[in-house]
Amino acid sequence: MQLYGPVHTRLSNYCRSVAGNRSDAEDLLHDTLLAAYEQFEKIESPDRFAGYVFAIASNLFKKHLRRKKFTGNYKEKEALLLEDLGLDPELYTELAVVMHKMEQLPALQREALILFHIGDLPLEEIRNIQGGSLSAVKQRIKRGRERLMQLLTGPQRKVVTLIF
Amino acid sequence: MDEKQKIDNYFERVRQNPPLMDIEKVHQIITEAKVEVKVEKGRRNFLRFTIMTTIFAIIISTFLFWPKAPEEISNSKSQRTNSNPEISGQILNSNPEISGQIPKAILQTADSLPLSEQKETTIKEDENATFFNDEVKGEIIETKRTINQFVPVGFVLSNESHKNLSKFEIDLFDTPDFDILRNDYSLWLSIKSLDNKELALGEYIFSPLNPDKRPPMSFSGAYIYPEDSILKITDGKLWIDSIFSELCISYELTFEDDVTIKMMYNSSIGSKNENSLERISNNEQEPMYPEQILDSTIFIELTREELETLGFKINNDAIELSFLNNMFTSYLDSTLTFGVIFEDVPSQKGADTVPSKINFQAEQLLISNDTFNLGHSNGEVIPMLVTDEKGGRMVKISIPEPELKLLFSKRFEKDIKTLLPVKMKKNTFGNIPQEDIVYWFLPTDEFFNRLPQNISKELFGEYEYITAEDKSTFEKPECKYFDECSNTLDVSNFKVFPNPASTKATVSFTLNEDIVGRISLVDLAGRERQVLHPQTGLAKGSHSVDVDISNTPEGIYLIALYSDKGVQVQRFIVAR
Repeated sequence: MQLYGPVHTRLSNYCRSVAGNRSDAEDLLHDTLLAAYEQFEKIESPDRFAGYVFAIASNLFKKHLRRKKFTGNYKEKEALLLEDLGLDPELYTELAVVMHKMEQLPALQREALILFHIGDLPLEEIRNIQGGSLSAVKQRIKRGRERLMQLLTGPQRKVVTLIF
Repeated sequence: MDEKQKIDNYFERVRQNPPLMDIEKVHQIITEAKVEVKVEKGRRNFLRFTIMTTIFAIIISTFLFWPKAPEEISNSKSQRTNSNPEISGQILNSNPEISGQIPKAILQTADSLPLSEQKETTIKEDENATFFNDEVKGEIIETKRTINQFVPVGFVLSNESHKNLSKFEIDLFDTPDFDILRNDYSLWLSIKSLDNKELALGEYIFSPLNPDKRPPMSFSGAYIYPEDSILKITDGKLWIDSIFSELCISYELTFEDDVTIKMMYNSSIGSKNENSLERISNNEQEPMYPEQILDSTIFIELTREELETLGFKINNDAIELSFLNNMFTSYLDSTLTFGVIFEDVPSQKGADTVPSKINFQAEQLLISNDTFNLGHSNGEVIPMLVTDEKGGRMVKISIPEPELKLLFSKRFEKDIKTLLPVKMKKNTFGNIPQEDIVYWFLPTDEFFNRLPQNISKELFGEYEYITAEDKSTFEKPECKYFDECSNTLDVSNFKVFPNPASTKATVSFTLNEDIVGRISLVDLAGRERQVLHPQTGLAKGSHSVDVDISNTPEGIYLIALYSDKGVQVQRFIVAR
C-alpha cells in the first residue's frame, strides 16, 4: 500500500480516460488492483511500481476491449471525465470538444498521450508498456499533440465513433 | 484561448478528477484478495501434489507393463521353462536394475492379463445409478480431453442380456475443418453396433468456442436414428432414447476447461422404477423431433461488371466501396480484413484521413446522427452488414434509426429486415475475396438504380407480396430473395421484436387455425441451429413467445415457426 498510495489518483484518472463509463472505469481499476496484488512478487524494483500497475491496466483494458467491454457512448464518457470538476458550462463544452478529438486519435497515440499527461509516467515506462523504441514513444506523443491541434483547428467535423 | 492551451487545460482538468474509489476501498479489495490468494495457493499445492503423484504412478506403471517384442517374450518364456537352473536362478535372484531383465512374477502378470480386463480398468461402477431400478447394470465411463486436443475416443459398453443391441461402440471425434474464425465447433457423433452397423451419425455445432462465453455452453438439436431411436442435445446434455423403451442411454457433456464425457447406460428390461421414469419425464418437455431443413436463402449474385456498377472497385489489392457522400470507404483486402476509412473533411477529398481498420469479427462502425447534419440524399449505396454466406456476422455499420428510415427507398417502408443481400463470389476481383462474402445493403433508391433492371423488378414484386395485407389479390412471385415469400403457413402478424435483438426477443403471431409447432432459429443455409420454443400445440388466436438468444452468436438468421401445416419464417438479426 505504501507503494500504491502515490499512484492511486493517477491510475484512477488513467482508468477514467480509457474506459467508456464510470462502472467500467471502476471495474478496470478493481481488476488492475487484484492483478497487481497477485503478481506483486514479480516486481523487480519498487521504483518501477507505477509503470508496472499502468502496464497491467493497459493490458487489461486492451483485453477487455477485445471482448467489447469498456465501450461507452460519447455522453457517458464525457460525464465520466468531467463530472466531478464543477466546471462552468462554457469551459465544460470546450473541454468536451478536446475529449472528443482525443477519441479520434489513433489508439497508440491516444494511449501515449494519456500515459504521459494524465498518468505522469516517464517516457521509459511508456516504452515498456507500449513497446517500440524510446524515440517512437516521443514521436507518438509529439504527433498525437500535433494531430490533436490539427483536429481542434480544422473546420467543424462530424461526430463519428469507431468501436474497435 | 489557443489550441495548445486548450489541450493543456484539458489534461490538467482530467488530472484534477478525484479518485474513482477512496484508499480505504483499495485496502478492502487487497485484503479480500489476500484471503483468496491463500486459498488459491492451497489449491495449487494440492494440484502440484496430485500431478507429481500421477506422474510417478505413470512412470512406475510404464516400467511394469511396457509391452515386450513377441520374440523377446517368447525368449523369456523359453528361458523360464527350458533354461538350466543356473540361468533360471539368475532371473529370480539377480538384481533387475543390473541385469536389465524384468522379474519373473511381473512378466507372468503382464503376459496373462487379457486385453478385455485391461480395458475394464477404465470402467467403474456408477455410484449414482440408483435412480434406475435394482436390476440395472449402471456403468459410467468418464473421460476428459482438452477441447483443442479433442482426439478420437471410443467407448465400449456391454449389455450381454439385450438381444437386439448387444453392444455399442461410440466414437466422438472432432472435425478436421474446425474453424475458430466462425466461432463454431463441430462435433461428430457416431454410434455403431459392434457388427459395424451405423446406428447414428450426426454433426453437432457448438457455438461459440469463444472461451469467454463458456461455461455453460448450451446447444440444442435433434436427430433421429435410422432405427427410430431419438438422440437429442439440450442444455449441455446429450440424451439418446432408444425405441426400446426399456433401454436408455444418456450422455452428459459438460464444457469447462476440459470436455467431460459422462456416459450412463441403463438396460432396465421390462420394469422401470419411479426414479427412472421421473428422470425421463423431466425431459419430456425437451424437443424430440426430426431436424428440418429450409431452402437456403438466395442472394443477389452479380458479375464483376455489375458489382462495379454498384460502386465496388479494386484499389491497392483491396475491394473498396464508398458511401455517405464518400465520407466512408469500406474495403476488404486480400487477408480478409474488412475495414473502413472515414474522411472527416469531405470537401478535401483524399486529404486528412484517419484510416481505421475494423476487424472482421463482431466489430462495428457506429455512425452518429451528427454525421447527417450536412445533409444527404438517397443517392447512396450503403452496406449495413457484411457476413459470410451462412449469415455469421463479420462487421456491422450502425446508423441511428431515424436517419436509417430516411435513407430507405420510399417503396421499402418496413424495418431493417428488408436489407438486401448481394453475394460477392470468391475471387470475383482477381484473388479477392478469398471466400464468398455477402454485403447486406440498405434498400435505397440509388441501390435499385444501380442494380440490373430485371433484379430490381423481381425484388419489388416479392417485397410487395410479402408486405401485402391480403395476399389473395397478388399472384405469388417466384420467391427468390425474401425468405418470407416462401411461407406456407396461414399466419398473420408474424413479428419478431426487437429486431435486431441482443439477448431476448419476442415472437408474436396470430394463428387462423390450431397447429402443432415449434419456433426455431435457422441459419441462412437453412439449417436449424437452435430450438427457441419446443414443439407444442398452439391454438387458433394470438400468441406471444419470449425467446432467449443470449447464447446465440451474432449474425443474420431466420426465425421459423415450423408446424404440421407449413412453415412461416422471418429474417432476424442478432447483434450486441
